[in-house]
Amino acid sequence: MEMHSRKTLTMTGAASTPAVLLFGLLALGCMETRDVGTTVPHGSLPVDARNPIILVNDGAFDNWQGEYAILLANSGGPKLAGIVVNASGAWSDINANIAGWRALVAAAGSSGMRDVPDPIASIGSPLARPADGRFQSTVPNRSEGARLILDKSLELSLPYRPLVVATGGRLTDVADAYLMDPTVADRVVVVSSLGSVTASGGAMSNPNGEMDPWADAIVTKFFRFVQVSAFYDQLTDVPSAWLTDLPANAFGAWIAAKQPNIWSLQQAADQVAVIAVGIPTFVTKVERVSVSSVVGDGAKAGPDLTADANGSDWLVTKIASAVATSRFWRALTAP
Amino acid sequence: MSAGRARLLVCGVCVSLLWLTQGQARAQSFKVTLDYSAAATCPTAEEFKGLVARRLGYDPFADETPERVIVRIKPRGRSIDGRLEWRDSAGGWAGEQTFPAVTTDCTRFVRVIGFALAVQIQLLAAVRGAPPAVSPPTSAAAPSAPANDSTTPTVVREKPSDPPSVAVEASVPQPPPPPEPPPPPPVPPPPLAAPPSSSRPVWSVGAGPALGLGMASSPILLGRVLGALAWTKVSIELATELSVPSITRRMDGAGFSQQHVLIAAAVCAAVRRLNACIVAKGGEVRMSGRDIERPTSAVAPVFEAGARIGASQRLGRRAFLNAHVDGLTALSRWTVTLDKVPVWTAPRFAAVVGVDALVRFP
Repeated sequence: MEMHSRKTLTMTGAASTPAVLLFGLLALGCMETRDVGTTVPHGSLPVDARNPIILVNDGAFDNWQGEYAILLANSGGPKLAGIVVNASGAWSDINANIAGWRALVAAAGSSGMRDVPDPIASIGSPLARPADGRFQSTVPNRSEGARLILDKSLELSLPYRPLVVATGGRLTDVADAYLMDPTVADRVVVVSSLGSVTASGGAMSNPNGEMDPWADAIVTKFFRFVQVSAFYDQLTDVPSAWLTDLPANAFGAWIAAKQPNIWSLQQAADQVAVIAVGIPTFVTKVERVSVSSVVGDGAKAGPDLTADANGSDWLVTKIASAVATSRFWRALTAP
Repeated sequence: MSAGRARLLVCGVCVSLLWLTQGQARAQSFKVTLDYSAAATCPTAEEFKGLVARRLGYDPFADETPERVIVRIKPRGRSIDGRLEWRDSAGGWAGEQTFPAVTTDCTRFVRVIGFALAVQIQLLAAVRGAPPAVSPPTSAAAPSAPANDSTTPTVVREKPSDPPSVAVEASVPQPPPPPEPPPPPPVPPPPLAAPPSSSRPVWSVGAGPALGLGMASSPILLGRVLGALAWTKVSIELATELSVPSITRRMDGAGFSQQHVLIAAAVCAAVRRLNACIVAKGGEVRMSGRDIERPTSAVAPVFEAGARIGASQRLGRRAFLNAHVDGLTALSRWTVTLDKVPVWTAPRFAAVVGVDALVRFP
């Protein structure tokens, strides 16, 4: 029909011929697409040190997650885009939690470390599984942490470089962000120190998985999800004998003061999620997994993860902790 | 002026002399009003009239005649510019002839102009004897001169709307020697991009740099090699263009390079130093990833069409420059992606600004 119209125009008069010819040439214009390169993540995970990162955790004193994140960000690792502090389990006092994180950030800042964001307190109970069992029916908390994830993902995430949310506690704020804006799942990869390795894959249980099973189900359903279920003895990061080697600044004093309170429980080493992103050689074994169960009412853990070569999620099962400790001290003592 | 051009002028004069002889009787009755202006160092109007009269064998000048001829001679540095312009009975422009010369000897120079005017008067008188359809003397040598060999006089004829410095050729089989060796002959303006007005086309080859806008994310440098075939007012051009690879980067530093390899064709019309063309280009753009873990290469076709305007400047006898601006519409466009994410899309419109250095053959 359009072609016929052009022909008619051409025949109506010689004066319009050039315009019609030009129009025809323009109409012939075609668009082609050529892809000339692909980014390959450094390491075995879908994200690496080039991805910006948001920390989500509860207490500030049981592990070195915050310290690792700040040191890596100041030594070529992932940019630290935000710190979300919530409350859960043994760290139920949100005021104490946020105070601890603020002290950490203040010590880092006064020691010359840059681009360390102020932590924000996020208030929100574990998500309740709706009676109909549908994710869309879940009532969101609309928490501060969820809002930060949404805002930062819009600000920093790129199609080839999504925002990483590294969790060391419950996944409530992440799932809450999805409930507020489902498109956030396209912009975020969740990396969690959580659960354990099982014979068939992984369990979203203790540590951290048991705190909000319904949030676990939402996150594994909709996000690109990396579960780090390999831990190490975090007491080896800063042994008492090395305290004298800490830098003589506020950050060194903070670490020295915190060191006696670090939990000896390996599963408390929430920093494994941050290190897995920031140090490519830290993860030595990873499996692809997929969700193989549903979370029922009253569940005490998230869904099971089953080994699946075509699975959409990742399960880190082995790590090299010595690499992390070495990097920690190199960043800590570097001028 | 070269020896060849001097020979041409001499032969042209000879041709005119033949006409003078044949039309002597008719010339006796032709009169023209002279408007003469020259520098103080040059011969006066009366001296000029006498010069022409001696050539013709009679005094062709009178007041209040239908035709009027204006002679202007102006020194310009180490040269002299002479201009001879004819006006018809209505006072309208009827033709002109310019006489640039590299000399400061105005007396000799005026003799040249006077000689040319005598030839033109004689020719005009002869034409007046011909059917009335013949136009006033827009050129001294143009009418009925048989074009043949290279021993042709070159008379410069200009018209405001014509291409610059169009030379008119005439020849005779056996040119007699001129009555006396001509003084420093006039130097015709350079033909620039327009070739002599014979039906035989003139070849040109050249090369030059250009700046491409809208062909990449930033201006790109192009190199052009071209050949052109030119007639009096029309020319065609064929060129190959190769761009310097340009790199476009996204926010994280990964990027791609692209290089254009094109063949361009143009059809041009020339008016004096200016030319306007219709341009079409086709070829390919070669792309490859840069600073990304898995780079790949790709090729996309390129088709563009548009218009060009240009201006020429002669550098010597054969060499000249042609500056041009091309406005192009992309008939084929492409989007370059990294990680399947668009990084750059070729715009709908592009422009090329460049200068070509060319040499004419023969």
